[in-house]
Amino acid sequence: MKIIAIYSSKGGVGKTATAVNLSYSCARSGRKTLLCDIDPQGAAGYYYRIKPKESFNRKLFLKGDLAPFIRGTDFENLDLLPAHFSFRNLDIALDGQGRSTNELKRIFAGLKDEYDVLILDCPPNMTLLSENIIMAADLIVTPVIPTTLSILSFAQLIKLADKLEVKRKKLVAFFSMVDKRKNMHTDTILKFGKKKMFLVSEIPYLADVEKMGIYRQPVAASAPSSSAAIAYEQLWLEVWRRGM
Amino acid sequence: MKKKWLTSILPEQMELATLLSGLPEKYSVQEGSVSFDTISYLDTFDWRLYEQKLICQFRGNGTYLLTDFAGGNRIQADGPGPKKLFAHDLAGGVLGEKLSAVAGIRALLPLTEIARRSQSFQVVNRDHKLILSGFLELSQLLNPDDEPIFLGGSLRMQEVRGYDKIVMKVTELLQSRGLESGKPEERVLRLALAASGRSPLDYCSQFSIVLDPSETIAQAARKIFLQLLEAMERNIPGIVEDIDAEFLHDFRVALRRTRSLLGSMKKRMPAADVDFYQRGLQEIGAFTGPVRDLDVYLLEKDVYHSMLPEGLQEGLSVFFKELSGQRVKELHRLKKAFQSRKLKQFLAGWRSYVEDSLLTTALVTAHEPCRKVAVKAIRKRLRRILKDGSLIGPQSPDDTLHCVRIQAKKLRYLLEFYRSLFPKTEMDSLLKSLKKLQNNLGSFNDLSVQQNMLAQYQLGLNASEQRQALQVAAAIGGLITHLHEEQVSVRQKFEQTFEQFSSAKNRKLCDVLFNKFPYRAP
Repeated sequence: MKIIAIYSSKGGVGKTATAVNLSYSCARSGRKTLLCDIDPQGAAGYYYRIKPKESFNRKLFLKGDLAPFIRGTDFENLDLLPAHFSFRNLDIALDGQGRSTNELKRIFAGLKDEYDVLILDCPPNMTLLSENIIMAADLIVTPVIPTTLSILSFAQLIKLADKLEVKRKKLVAFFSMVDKRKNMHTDTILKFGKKKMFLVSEIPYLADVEKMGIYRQPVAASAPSSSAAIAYEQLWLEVWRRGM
Repeated sequence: MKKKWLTSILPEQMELATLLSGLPEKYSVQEGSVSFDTISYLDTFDWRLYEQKLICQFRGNGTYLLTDFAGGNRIQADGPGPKKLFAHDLAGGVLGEKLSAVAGIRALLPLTEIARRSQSFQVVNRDHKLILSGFLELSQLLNPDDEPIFLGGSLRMQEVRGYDKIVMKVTELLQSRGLESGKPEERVLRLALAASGRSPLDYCSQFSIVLDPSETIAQAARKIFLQLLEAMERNIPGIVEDIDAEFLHDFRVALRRTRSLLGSMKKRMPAADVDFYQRGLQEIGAFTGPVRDLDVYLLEKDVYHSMLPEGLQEGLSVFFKELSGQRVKELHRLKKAFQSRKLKQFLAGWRSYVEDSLLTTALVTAHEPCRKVAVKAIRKRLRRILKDGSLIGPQSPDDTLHCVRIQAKKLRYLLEFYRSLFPKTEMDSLLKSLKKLQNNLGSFNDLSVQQNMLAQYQLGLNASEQRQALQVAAAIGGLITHLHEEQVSVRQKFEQTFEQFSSAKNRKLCDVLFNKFPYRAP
């Protein structure tokens, strides 16, 4: 099972939209896929119309007792583990478990026979949970809005990965919510786009992505021939090639 | 991800709205499209799919579908129409592979045809999240002369992972409306067959008969003869239509069994009767032989090709082309023989002899209890095999193995005729070890026959077409070498196989089965 984490310490960069659309493309490619939402906002679950079971909580998650709480999406090969509100304190809980950076790895180990790919929709922070994510993932995909602050937060991620002695090969970024009418966006892409860590694929700022909140489906399901759907499909193919 | 299929049988024709009404308020049923299909069910003549709890359908849109009895575990593939299907017609796909594993070389034949109305549906929650999806299916038998006959309906549902509570509620609701979980596909097939006067497993290649130990040997033989005659008669149409090679094979096995039993009845039936029918049966054996011999080679075509390098393939193709040509001619002769009045009269005469005269003309010795006769015959045969087999060493001529092979075959027939008279577990165990011995001896013999046939063929190659003759001769030479090597290896395994058959464990088994062990090696 390959673990792909969609992670950024910055909020509002399009992590959930990426996780939702990449998991859909992954499942469509025939791989048994689990989208695991560890962001307590639970937006990935919202997009797939899935609520967590009432009996689910952070304690059970940390125990690794995940299977009973996984729910099927409307799509072949794609399941989802919805986030629970109690995940907001995952950091504190991890802290209480001896500050290990390998807890997430242990938690997900039980799923390895059932799924080919696990995609993590991560919350925006830079804490012990982030360190666990970096250690557990085979590939960390970071959406970067072509702005200074967003680039800065990616630089912080590289620093953290270095501290954890994780190979930089594990980190990739792509430009998200790109608006070519903005000079800052085009300048930033020109400056950083050639760097090895950046993927060629970009996700433009598109209304179809925003409309996911209305249709509550991946864009490729509600508007299969839209440019947003095509952009995510290309992104997925590049992510898969890079990671595997 | 969708989970397993849940299948229920409808007690009567019902509408989807009625079936699923009364679900908790937050769930709603969305009715989908309706489709109509004609479905042909197929199986081999000896029900190889049904025996494995599988069902093969051909749908009007040109699709073959393999399911389990409940309609689940579906594998499908497009293929040619439903008249007759071999696994190799669907080669290269999952369905072809599965059919090949189950049906082997047998053809799948259409058994019956039904019409099906299928309506899709979904159960969704307030968020329009899919919870359950499925089909309501109603089947009826097409009846050209009358109203269609309703064969039953089913509800097939696939649950979505993680929504167990609503699935339980739906299941309870369906149960309260009289639906039972079951295997609708098997049920529909069975009902459709019944309407045309057939039932599953009404033919089996394996010989099986239940005898009463208190029956006389004449009564038992009568039963066995009749069952074997029925097997022969049932296979004749398939031979004449040339459906697959197994019809002729099964026919000849039943014929050999009949001859073997008739031979063992020599001293219990009037000699003239035995002679007359033995001669007739022998004639049938003779005229059915050539096609079967050719079938043996043609069925192994791929194996033969795999024995030779690329350079010799062309010569081998010429050889097989010629064999196919010969088969056409021989099949023509065979068909004529089967359609002849002579054969029909002979088989009818044999039937009336067995049915009406066998018991009245039987000699005094035929009134012994069948179990006693069986024990005596089996012990005699076992004694022969163990004696002859134990004398075979690495230097013994091939003929000695051939004699043991014939003895083993006769023993096998005896054990199969009379197996119901003895304890099952021990009998099965003895048969299993006998089969191992027979496999070794059979392979040895087959390899010998094949080499002889190829050598004969090589001698008769037409010298006028020299180039082609050379190619074929080279291919045949290659085959003979390969077969000889294999035969040497099989021969080397004989001693070990025979040792296993004549082991102390098997002797003890025979003690239990047949009271006293017949022969002990010095």
